[in-house]
Amino acid sequence: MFSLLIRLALFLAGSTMLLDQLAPMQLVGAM
Amino acid sequence: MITPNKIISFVLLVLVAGDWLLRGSRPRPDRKLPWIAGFYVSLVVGTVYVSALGLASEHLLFRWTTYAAVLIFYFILRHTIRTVRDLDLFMIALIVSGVIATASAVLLPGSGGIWSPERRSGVGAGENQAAANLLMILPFTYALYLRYRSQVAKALVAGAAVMLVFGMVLTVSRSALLAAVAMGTLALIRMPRIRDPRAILATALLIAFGVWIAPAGYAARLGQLFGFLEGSPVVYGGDLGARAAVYKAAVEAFLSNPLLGVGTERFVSWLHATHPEVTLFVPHNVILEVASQEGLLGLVPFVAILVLTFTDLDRAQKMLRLRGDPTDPLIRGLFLRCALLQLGYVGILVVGQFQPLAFSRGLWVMFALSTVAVNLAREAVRASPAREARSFAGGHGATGGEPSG
Repeated sequence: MFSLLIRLALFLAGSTMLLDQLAPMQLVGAM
Repeated sequence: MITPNKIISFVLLVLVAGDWLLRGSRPRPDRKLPWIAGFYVSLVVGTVYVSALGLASEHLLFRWTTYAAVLIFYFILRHTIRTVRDLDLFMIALIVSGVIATASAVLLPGSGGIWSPERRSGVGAGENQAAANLLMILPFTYALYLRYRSQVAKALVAGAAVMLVFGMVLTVSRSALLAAVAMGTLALIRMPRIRDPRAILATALLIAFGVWIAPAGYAARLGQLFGFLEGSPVVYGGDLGARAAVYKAAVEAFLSNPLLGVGTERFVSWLHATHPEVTLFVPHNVILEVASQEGLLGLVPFVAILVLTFTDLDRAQKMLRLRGDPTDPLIRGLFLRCALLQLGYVGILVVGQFQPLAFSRGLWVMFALSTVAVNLAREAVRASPAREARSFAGGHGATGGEPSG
């Protein structure tokens, strides 16, 4: 379970890693 | 700025710390560790040095959040990626990230659409850094393409590869173009399998696609490189000239104190005081970036890390080739992945010769993945050793990429 969580977090960290200019407000703005 | 990535990275750090405390884990061998420690000692020394002299930049504290972040990420990756599946998972995540960045460059309000002549990277960092990141992950799509059996999955991977190339073209990065040429050359020399006509056709199609979607002015900007090589004075006076000026200044900064440089994060103020005419404020080269501010104390370990990252990826391939069972798909798959990671590393390293990437997350991800690769290779070879004194090089038709020199 714990290792699944870690893998999930690893995936999320990787999948946002190259989005350097992405601020939460921009996300909201884009929606 | 608090980005989603920083928040998730923090959560990941907490999880990894918890995992480490609960399960504990024997530290795995890491040749780069002493050099990384040495490099960070140089950063601390450089910080104390500028602080003691009252010359510390106001950005110094902010920069330390970056220094800490890339280091923490190094250890997180080293701790978390324990199997080839983990490696694939992380690389898929990076590819997803690259595709989102590319899409944002076209779709976000103000991006100007596909045919805009502007250089664009959307939310994917500065143009050149974004291009370096995309190049770094591009080769790995090949391993994922081979991994999946389903045509749908293959099509998705191929689509992602096209998007990464598209994103790179949108940035109109000259450094990235040079890096792509270097990667292609290395691939031709070291991976004879890509001489496969289908692979060449796929590459040619990707290039044709890139040329077709290239924004207006792309050829002119990239053409500056050729003008520069021919010594054309008009082009040389442009920002390539500014680069030459800041390189010269960075060498002077280094020579002013070869042991310690001008001090951590002090190059800009030093430059303003001594060379007010120079228009680029950061040495656009990773070696000079470190040498000018940290001197030999930081440069020696940093160069060692750069070299060891390449040789670790080499070592992993050699281990798999010479001591692994050449018929085991796991051994072959890992061998191919190491070769592709190495290609990506060469890409970001070449961009780093023209950009200040010493603390870019992409570069530090490669530092970590090379350590991971050696450990994965060692474990794979232990689990699946060559049965006879025969290996990839022993006359089997190798398919997972050919042995490298």
